[in-house]
Formats: sequence, structure tokens, C-alpha cells
Amino acid sequence: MKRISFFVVLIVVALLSFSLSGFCAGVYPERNINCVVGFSPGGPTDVIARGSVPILQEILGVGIAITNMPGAAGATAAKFVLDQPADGYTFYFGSEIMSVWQVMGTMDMSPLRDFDCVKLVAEATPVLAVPPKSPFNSAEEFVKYAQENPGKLRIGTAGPGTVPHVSGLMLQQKLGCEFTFVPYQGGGPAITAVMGAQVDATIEMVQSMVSAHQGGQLKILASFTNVPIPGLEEIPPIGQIYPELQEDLPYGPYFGPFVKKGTSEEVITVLKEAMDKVIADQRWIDYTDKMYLTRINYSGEEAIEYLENWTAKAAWLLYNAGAAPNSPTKFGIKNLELLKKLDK
Amino acid sequence: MFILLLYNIVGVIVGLVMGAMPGLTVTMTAALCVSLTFGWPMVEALAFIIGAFCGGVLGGALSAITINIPGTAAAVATTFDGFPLKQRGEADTALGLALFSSLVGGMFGLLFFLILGPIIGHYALQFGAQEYFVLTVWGLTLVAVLSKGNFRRGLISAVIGIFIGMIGMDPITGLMRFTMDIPLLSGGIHYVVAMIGLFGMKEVFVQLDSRRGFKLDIKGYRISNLLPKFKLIRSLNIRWLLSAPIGAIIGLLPGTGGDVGALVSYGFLKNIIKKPSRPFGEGAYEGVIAPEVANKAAVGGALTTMLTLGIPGDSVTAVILGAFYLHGLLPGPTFMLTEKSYFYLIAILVGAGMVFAYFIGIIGSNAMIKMLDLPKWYLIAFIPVLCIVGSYALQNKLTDVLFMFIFGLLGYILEKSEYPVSPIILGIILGPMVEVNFRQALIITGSFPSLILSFFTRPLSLILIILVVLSFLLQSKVTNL
Repeated sequence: MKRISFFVVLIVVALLSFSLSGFCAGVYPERNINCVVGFSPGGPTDVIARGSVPILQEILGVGIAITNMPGAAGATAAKFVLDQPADGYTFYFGSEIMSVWQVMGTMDMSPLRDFDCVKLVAEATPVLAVPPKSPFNSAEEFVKYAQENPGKLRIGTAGPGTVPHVSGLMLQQKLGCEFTFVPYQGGGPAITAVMGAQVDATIEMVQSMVSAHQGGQLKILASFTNVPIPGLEEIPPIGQIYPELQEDLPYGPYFGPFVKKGTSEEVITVLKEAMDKVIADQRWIDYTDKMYLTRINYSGEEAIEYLENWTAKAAWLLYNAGAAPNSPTKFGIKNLELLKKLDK
Repeated sequence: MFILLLYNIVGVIVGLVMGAMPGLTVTMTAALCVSLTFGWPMVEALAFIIGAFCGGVLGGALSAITINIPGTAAAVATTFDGFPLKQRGEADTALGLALFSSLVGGMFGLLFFLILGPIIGHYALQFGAQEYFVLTVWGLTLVAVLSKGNFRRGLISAVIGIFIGMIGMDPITGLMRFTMDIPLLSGGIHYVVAMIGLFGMKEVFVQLDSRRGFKLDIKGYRISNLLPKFKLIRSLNIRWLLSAPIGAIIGLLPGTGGDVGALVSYGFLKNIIKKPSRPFGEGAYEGVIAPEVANKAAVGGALTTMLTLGIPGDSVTAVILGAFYLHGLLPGPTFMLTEKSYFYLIAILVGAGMVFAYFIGIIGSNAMIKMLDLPKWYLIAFIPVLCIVGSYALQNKLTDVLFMFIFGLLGYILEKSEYPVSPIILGIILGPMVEVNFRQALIITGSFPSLILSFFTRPLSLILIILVVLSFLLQSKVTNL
């Protein structure tokens, strides 16, 4: 009996101390933070999170653990973050795939409705690459062939709804050509497929293909930008070849930390100011340069506008191409093309 | 250099312990090492990660043999004959064989990596969806072996596994399948979670139900029993050596690693060895050697792809490539050519890691055997803890723990009704690969007739089909080879 009552007391004390720690909340952050990444270690989102979070940890002065929770295109991890209290102690290191969850029917979650964006810190650049022995030596040749032979060219992508897929759809819509998209299980296998000429082309991020390009394992034909990528001037930007694409470019995935909607303004400000220091840190600058990432700095209203536009563009492209089952209107995603026409 | 070897040894120890724990996979160990070594120089980080890679693959076998719970997916095939051997009171022999064949396989993988790798590395790229399809279907035929006599029941189990593998996001369209709008299911069911439940938790339920304990009855056990028994090895059909090239080549392929390598090589040896020491599945020595040689040889194969092409050969090398990115290095063919030093460094580290893993593995095996001497009730309390920790740690999801328990119960019910459990795992691992590659091949070829034709017009696919047919002819009674 004595033993049992001892345990009861112990449990009560433990519970009390837990609840008390909630009451006397001091200045954020006072304990370790959990950063959730929705993809496996080594993937692009993970690599960018691991490049910035250690610096953030130094600035905030508390430990930040990176937790990888892969599954359902990052949606499982986001769901987990939304199930935690909105106290800033769990944040989601998000990426562009958040923008298509709703239309793709992955899960009804949106980066704007359910999350507050702390800061968008980086953008990656997709490029179009063909196998080393491909008859195509320029983007013009490639697009011309696709226009004349609709559906014949096969483009490997990192999966349905991913940036490579949407970028390809953009070419289809704007340049009047047609491709067959072959979804792979992530960017790695899609690159492997183009190296081995299993597909006619692959669209993937430049940092994962540049070494193979220089080694002659594949040929990069164009980047999805309006101006050349700094340091890789030999790759022609597709916006200069096809001026009609310019208004949609540069087009690439975004990355940055998100907190659950309802997190207090103070907490977001602390995180945002810390992220300001991170992106000014020389280590982050060197890191992003080496990885050919574009540093961006959007927060608050700017981030909201950026995310709205990004989401609208991707959602409508996917829906119009028949790749997304849900209509963007269902989620109140505005139709940019339609708005433009109305303006005229 | 000395300090590097020290990092390597520590890596091996960490890997071995993690590998022996069900659910703590080698990939996860490598990922943890990557975050741990983020602030270190690349070379030291590599020494540590590669040590963990070598140790981790070996660790899986220890728990597979002693408690019938594969520590890693690569050790699933090791349970098929390893545990029956333990039940026959030959746990020490089985562990000794596993350690020895690991060393042989690891060294072969290293040689492959140094000599053949650079030459045939780019052939791995010729492996397209069609070839992966044939390869994985070949792996699925292993159901026949795992059914242990009752093929219909084995097939039912395999179908359950394939169905479970389909839950979650459709890999081609991104739509949800069989999730019934439950967010819990949207991420699908990870095969390692199913594996922990079906092997680990099931074993607990079975043990609770039976009088038989884990206890060993080895008379006069000494640690020297773990050293290889060359007399025994010489008495075996030398064809087991074929596991090494099979493992290395499957490791080399970008989409498959040691888990598929071990399964295919087990199935292949089963086909070509007519008179095993005992029937396969009942404690054949060859059945322990085949997967262990293959999954270690796959390490060398996977590293070859990583270094010659800059693409991952399996999920662990994917993490190692991630580490290169983290250190601001862009891996790829040119990088590996210009930074030759990494090539040799990795070769040395793999060689050293395999040797260290062997010796540390002896100590580890000894500890496992000693542990089995504990009263059954201690172990029965301990294994569920391992299963829970492992299934949670895998993806940091509490729902995985729930799934693990469900699979434990499923495994228990199936085993009680005399259905084999391992075909389920086979179905979960290989089913999605079969499906994805078939559908990719269909998209690429455009139509069904041209898809079927492509299986025979693509040279590598044709070679594979011939190999499959040959391996079946070899074991049939008609052709008495």
C-alpha cells in the first residue's frame, strides 16, 4: 500500500511540475525546439533545413532537433505539426509541395490557411536535361520536336505534382507542345533515368545535376529562369529563348520554416528576427552559393503574396492538365490567368 | 589516419548496436550520424558513417538468428534459416557462419568496388523499369520457398502483403488509395513497421502462449564456437559463393539495396543447390550464408554507384550523398573523378569497417547468446520495448507503434492458423516495386503490346528473363542437371 501511495504522490508531483511549466512561461524560446522535415534525410528539403537550422540554433541559444517524418509528400509531417500546440516549439520546414496538397487531394492543408510562414529563405532552380547521346542539343530543338510530335517525348519527374511536373506543364501550356510525364519516386531516380536514357528528358534541380552535366553524363539544355544562373552562365535561361515564358519565371521550389496558425506574434517575431541573422550569416551564404540556391527573404505580407501566387500558378496548371483531381476554386485559390484577362 | 580508424571503429560499434535493434535501420543510423557529424570535417564524418554502414548491416543478422527478429530489412532473409538453426541448438554455429559470410561478402563487395565497379558502373544505368520489374517479380517467386509446403497459404500471405504495400499515396498519380479518408493511413505503412510487428511482436505473443522459451541448450558453449568452422564450410556446395556477385550487382542498381539482394540470392541459391545440408527453411547452413554474403556484398555495389555516377545505389548511400551536400560538396561523376582521394579513402574505410565489424560482431554475438540465457520472462518484457522504440523511431510517428501492434496480432493469428508470415514482408517490400516499375514501363512504352515486346527486345531484360527461366529449369525434376 505504502508503495502505491508513494507512486501516486510521485505522479501527482510530476504532473504538477509539467502543468506549472506551462504557467510560468518565460521568454520564448526557453526549451529545445523541434524542427520537422517532411522528407527523408538527404533530400533537398532536408539538406536546406540542415544547412540553416544549426545556425538558427546558435542564434536562439537552444537546441533544435531536426525530425524527419517522411510520408504522403510531406503531408504527414505537416499534419503532425498542426496537431502540436501553437507555441513555436514545433515548426515545419516547408517546401513548395505544400502548395499542391489540396488540389492533388493529398490532404486538405494549405501553407496559408493552416500555417504562418516565418520566412522563405531559398529557392532552387529547375533545369531541363537530356541524356548524353540525345539528338537534342538545345531547348529549341527539344520543344520543336515536341510541338511536331505531341506526346512522343517522355519527361521524367520527381513525382506527380512536384515542381518538375509543373514546370513541364508550363511548357506544354505556353508553348503548345505535349509531353508524356513519367513520375519517379523522387528526384534521384528521375536523374538516373535520364542518365541511362530511359526517358527523353528530366526536369530536376540544378544542384543535383550540375556535376553529371560537367562530367558528360547528361546534357542540361536550359534553366527555368530569365537570367543565367550565377556561376553557370553556359546554361541558357529558357526565358530568353521563349519570351512568352518570362512572366512565369523564375519558377522553382521555395523553402522556409512555417509555424502552426495561431502561434503568437511575439514567437513569430523572435523566429523571424533569428532567421534574419541566419540568412545574413556567411556560412549560409557560402552554402547556398555552392548549392546554386537563390537566396530569398520574404516574410509577413510579402510571403503571403508570394505563396498565393505560387500556389495559384501550380494549382491551375495541374488542374487544367488533368493531373489534379480537385478544382482550385474549391479552396478559394484565385485564377491568375483569368484575372489577367479580366484586367485587359 | 589513426584517428580516422578510431572514428571508423566507433561507427561500427554504433552501427552494430543500432542494426541489432529492430526498427533502427541502417539508413536511419546513417541519417543520425549525418546530423551528428554535421560540424565535423567531411573525412571524419565519412569514416564514422561508413563504419556505421558496415556495422549496421551485420547487426541485423544477430537479432535475426537469436530472437527471430530481423534488426534491419536486409536481414529478413537471414531469419528463414537462421532461427530454425537456433531452435536446433546451433545458434553459435549460425552466428559464426553469418559473421564469416559477412566478412567474405564484404570483402568481395570491396573488390568489386575497386576492380569491376568503375567498368560496369554505368551499365547500372541501362537498368530501366522493365528490368526492375523482372527482377522484383523474380524476388516475389520466393513465396514458393517461404510457404513451407503449403503454397496456397503462402500465396494468400503474399497477397495480403502486396495489398498493404498499396495503402497510401499512389506513386504514379499521387491520389490516395485504400486510406478511407483516414489521415493515419495517408502515409502508407512502412515495411519496417510491418516487419517489426510480424516478426518481433508476433514472437512475443507466441512466446506468451507457449511453454518453450528462448533458452538455448548449447552444451559447453565457448566464445571460440563463433569462429568459422572451416570443416563445415568446406562440406557445403561451393555454389554459395554466387551470392556475392548477386548481392554486389543488386547493390549496384540504383533502385535496390541489400534487402532485395539478400532475398534474391536466397531464392537463387535455393534453386541451384540441389542437396543443401538441410532443406531450406529448416536450418540449412546455406540459407544463412546466402543472405549474409549478399547483403554485405551489396554495400560495395551501392558505394560503386555512388562514387562512379554520383547517384545512390541504395537508401544508405542516398543519405551519404546527402552528407556530401550538407558539407557543401556536390557529388557526381566529375566530383568523384577530380577528388580521387575520396574514392580510395572510402575503399580503405569499407575494408577496415568490414574487418572491425567481424571482430566486434563476435563480441556482439557472444552478448546475444548470453542474453538468451536470461529467463524467458525478462526477454519477453524487453522485446516489446525494443519493438515500440524501433517502430516509433523509424519515422517519429506514434501511429507506427499502433500499426506495429496490429501486425503483431495479425502475425500471431496467422501463425496459429499455420499461415506463413514472411511472404507478407516479401509482398510489402517487393509489391510496390513491382507495381511502380510496371506502370512506369507502361507509360514509357506507351501501350501494352509494345510493353510486352520491350521485355524481350531490351537486352538486359532478356538476359534477366533467361536467367529466371534457367534457374527454374535447374531445380525442376525434369532436367536432372
